[in-house]
Amino acid sequence: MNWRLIFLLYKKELLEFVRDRRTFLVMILVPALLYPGIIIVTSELAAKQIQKQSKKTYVVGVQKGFEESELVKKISRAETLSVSVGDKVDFEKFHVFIKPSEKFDSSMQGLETAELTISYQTADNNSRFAYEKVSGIIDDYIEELIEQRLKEKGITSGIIEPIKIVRDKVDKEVESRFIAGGILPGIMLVMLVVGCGLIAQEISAGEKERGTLETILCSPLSRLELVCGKYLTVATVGFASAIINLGCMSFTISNFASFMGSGRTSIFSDFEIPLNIIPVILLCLVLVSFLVSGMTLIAASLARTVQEAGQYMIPITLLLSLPVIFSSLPGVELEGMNRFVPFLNFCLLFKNLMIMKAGMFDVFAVMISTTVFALMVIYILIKIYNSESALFNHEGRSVLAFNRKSIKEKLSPESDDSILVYLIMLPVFFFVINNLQKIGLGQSVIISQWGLFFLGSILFLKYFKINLKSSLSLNNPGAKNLIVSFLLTPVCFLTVVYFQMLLKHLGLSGYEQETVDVMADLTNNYTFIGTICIISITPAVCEEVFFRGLILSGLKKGFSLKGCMLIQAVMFGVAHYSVFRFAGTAIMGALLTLVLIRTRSIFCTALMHFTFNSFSCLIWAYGVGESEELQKIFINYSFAIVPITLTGFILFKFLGDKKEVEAGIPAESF
Amino acid sequence: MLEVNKLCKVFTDKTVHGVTAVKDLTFTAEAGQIVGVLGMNGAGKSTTLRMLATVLKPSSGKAFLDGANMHENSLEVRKSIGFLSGSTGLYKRLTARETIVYFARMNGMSEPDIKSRVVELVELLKMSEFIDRRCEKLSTGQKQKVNIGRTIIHDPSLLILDEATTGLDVVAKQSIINFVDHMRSEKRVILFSTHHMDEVDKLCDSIIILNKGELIAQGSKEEVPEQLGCQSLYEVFSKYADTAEAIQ
Repeated sequence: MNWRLIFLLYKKELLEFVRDRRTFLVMILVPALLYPGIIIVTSELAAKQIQKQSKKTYVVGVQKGFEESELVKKISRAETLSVSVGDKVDFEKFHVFIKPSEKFDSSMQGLETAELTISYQTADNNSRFAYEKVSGIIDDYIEELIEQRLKEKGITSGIIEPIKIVRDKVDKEVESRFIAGGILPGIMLVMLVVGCGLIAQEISAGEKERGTLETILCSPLSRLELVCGKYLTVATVGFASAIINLGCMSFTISNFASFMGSGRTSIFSDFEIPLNIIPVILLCLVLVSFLVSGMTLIAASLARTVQEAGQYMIPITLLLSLPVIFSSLPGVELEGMNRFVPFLNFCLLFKNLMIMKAGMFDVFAVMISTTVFALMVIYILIKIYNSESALFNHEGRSVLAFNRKSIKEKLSPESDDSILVYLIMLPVFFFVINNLQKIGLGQSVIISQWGLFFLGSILFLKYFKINLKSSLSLNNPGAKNLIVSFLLTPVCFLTVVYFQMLLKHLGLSGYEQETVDVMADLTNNYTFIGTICIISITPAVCEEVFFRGLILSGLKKGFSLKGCMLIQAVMFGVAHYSVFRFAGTAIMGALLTLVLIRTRSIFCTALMHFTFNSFSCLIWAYGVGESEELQKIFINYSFAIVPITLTGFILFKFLGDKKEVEAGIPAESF
Repeated sequence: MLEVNKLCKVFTDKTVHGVTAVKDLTFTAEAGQIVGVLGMNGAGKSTTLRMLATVLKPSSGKAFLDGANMHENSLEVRKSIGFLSGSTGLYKRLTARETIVYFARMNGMSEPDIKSRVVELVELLKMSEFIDRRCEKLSTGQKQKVNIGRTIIHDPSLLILDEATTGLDVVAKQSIINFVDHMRSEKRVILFSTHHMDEVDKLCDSIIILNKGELIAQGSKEEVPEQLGCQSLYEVFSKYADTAEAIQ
């Protein structure tokens, strides 16, 4: 890495950006003038409007015969109310209309509850304002009546008001910070996308459009250095944009909030960000800037023109607004896996930091998670800049052309596309399943698997004109392959069981408890058939379509058989989001990959997946998995792993046509 | 010296079929020569020149510049390459001087060398009037001069000009041609791609003709028509233009 060249590129990109007038407008003028401007103008306008409303005279219609009552006399004494007598509700004449019940007078005299109807229009501001005034007077009158009646009876007011609550907000300063903590990160993230998006469009799609990309590609700058230079530029601009916005918003809130309501006291009047949290916020913001920079740069790099790149920023902004909105929902806290969901964790951490509730673990979790996601994004970016197709927009690649008209039909996705889809699906699936678990484990599995894995895969393939039959390996497996696949399942099952036992022996023993909890939840809430549907049929169809269909069909184009097995193992293992289940699911992922490549039919892997999960269902649903006797049997017969493995090898020999597989058939033949 | 050995470029769309843009291209160009790279649209000229500029990686084959493998040592070799195409743009918010200095620094030149070289180029390309003006405010001809300046600032031993006169008016075009002629040097190979026969007549010492990605003729301006059974280069072009139309 030649840092001199990276810095040279970085300096040039920043110089060009700073000289752009749009930069000044969007990054400095907008936050510096717009926020205070909006607050001052809107609050002054609102205050004037309220003042105007309060000086206006409202007509209160009173049922004929009720005008001489004490209450109406009180209303008529009010400055902005004039009483007019009428027979019925008529909003052409009155803003509100008061009508007593027939027994009103007798109820009043008999010290019973008398009924009074006030008619008003909610859709009319004047009517609503008049109603508020009238009901205020009536409330005062009711209090007077109560006091008078209690006095007459010689009863103290403590009888009907045994406790009087005095509200004493001791953390007024924290309240303002709590509210600001909910608003500021969202604005920062949006402005981060705006800032990053502006420069990302210019220095990637803009370079292609202007024809300057080639000049830099034939200079002595490696692709990695090129990515680093551009990435640092976007991150710097994004970070600066977020900081300027944070500063302007904080300044506006603390200095201009008192304008609200023309002098009315505001909870923000003494608002300020505590100095000791600023370094942590800045550090987290740097990491988030890196993540957003990568995302915007990827989107912009895939575009052919600045205009197209601008369109790609819309989904990124929407994607980012989801965690922002979610973070503001009641009950959503920085706990559990929420700590690792990008952007959501930043918003929640910011909120907690503002009220001094964030712990060191929270801060580290957010930083590590954001760094990991940022590294993933950098990896994708480097891949894009190393791809001539991406840089020069050669036809035929789905990932490069989101405009469906320009996409050509193909038999399977590219390997890069598959990895990208997986990386996007991984956090989305986690986010969905994590939040749907509140409505029930079974429902969450069904919705997330069918909605994301199955429907998501089909829609992706259809949109990018990828042949379903070819990419999903929807081929007739033949009776032999089906039978061998079925026979292989117990072999795979026992392999996984022995492997889990080995891990247990090594101290990693969370698998059993986790499985027992899941199965207990399912068997308590569903019938056996229902449990089979959730635990066996759904993953056998949906996970196979996604992993062995969409993902593997792309991987096969870029990796060898061993490479595919290894990547699928990691992908399948990670997608189960459990440290304890990683090993077992990874082994299964690799074996299913081998079976699919050998048989060229997804029906074989679906059958294996179904049978495998059904075994688990049967064993764990009825507590057999927990049985110490069964475990003793497994331990006593641990030598069985040798014949099991041998059986597996023999069975694999019967799968598919070995010669064709070894000859390395091109992906489209699968 | 430039040696190109069985250079191939297949634009891979593995799932459907690959598009072979350049196939088994082999030729040699001696230092001091201006080699005309000719062919119809889609013949593979630009792909060839981009591979030799190391912008594109060849699918197979090798190319050597003064003995160095151009694609294995691309970062080092690029310091000896200048590449300019008709579609090459400039950074619009940098001045002409900043643009040239930026590329000089990219190529690892020292600050004193940059200073003297910029002065030399400003005089040579008659850029004094607009050298400190932003590129967005320059005319097409002035922009092309800046582009040439940034291409040759590091005095490359391989200069690749791909339809560099496209879109220029007569005066600008003439000044570019005169400049390329001036750049002819004992230590430099110039690859010059164009559709204009008058430019070939004036500049090129030898030519190579590409058709559908393959080299169909190579030699001097006199030898090539003979090899293809034609009277002149104009006839060669009309012959291959007819073939291309028939295919379409």
